[in-house]
Amino acid sequence: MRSSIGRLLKQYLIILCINQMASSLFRLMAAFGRDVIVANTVGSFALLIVLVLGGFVISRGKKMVM
Amino acid sequence: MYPFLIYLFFMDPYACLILPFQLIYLAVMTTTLFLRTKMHRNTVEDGGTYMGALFFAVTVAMFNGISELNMAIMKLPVFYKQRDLLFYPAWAYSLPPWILKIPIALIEVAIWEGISYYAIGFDPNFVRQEATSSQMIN
Repeated sequence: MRSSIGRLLKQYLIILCINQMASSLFRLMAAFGRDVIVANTVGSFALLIVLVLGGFVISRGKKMVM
Repeated sequence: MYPFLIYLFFMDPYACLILPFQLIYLAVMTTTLFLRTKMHRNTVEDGGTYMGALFFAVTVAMFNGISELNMAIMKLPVFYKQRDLLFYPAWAYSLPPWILKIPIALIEVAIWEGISYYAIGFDPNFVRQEATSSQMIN
């Protein structure tokens, strides 16, 4: 069994990576959009795609019990 | 509401202080929603509750990045001027902000984890022995 503080640090690392991924994604969308309205729309759509296809909202297999 | 807040945050550096307090507020709200005193860990459906907490953590971590979008857009005219006049290379506007944002991200994630991890009850005990852990698995 792993130590409990190690699991805390693992989740810390994972959420840090998610944070970096999100900021990089939105910076990319800002570079694509180049306008406030377009970039907000594209960024919100990218967020929607990431959250829907991330595996939490729509489960992949039939055995998923939620 | 949120882009306007970020606009303020960009214009006024002292309003940088708003964002961690917003994160603290969200973490406290999440903690009260998923309090560990009300949670059981016996069946797979109970695990779905923990997965909801994890999903909300992911959502909050991703919505924190929206501030980057407006800040990057507001920096774009300077970037285009410097690039077209061959003053500064393009990476001078991409790499240093990323490196400078890393400590802020560390602090924000530390705030989130410190408030919500043990209160939600991802881990019931701070230090756990071998025997109790094997008993909990069985």
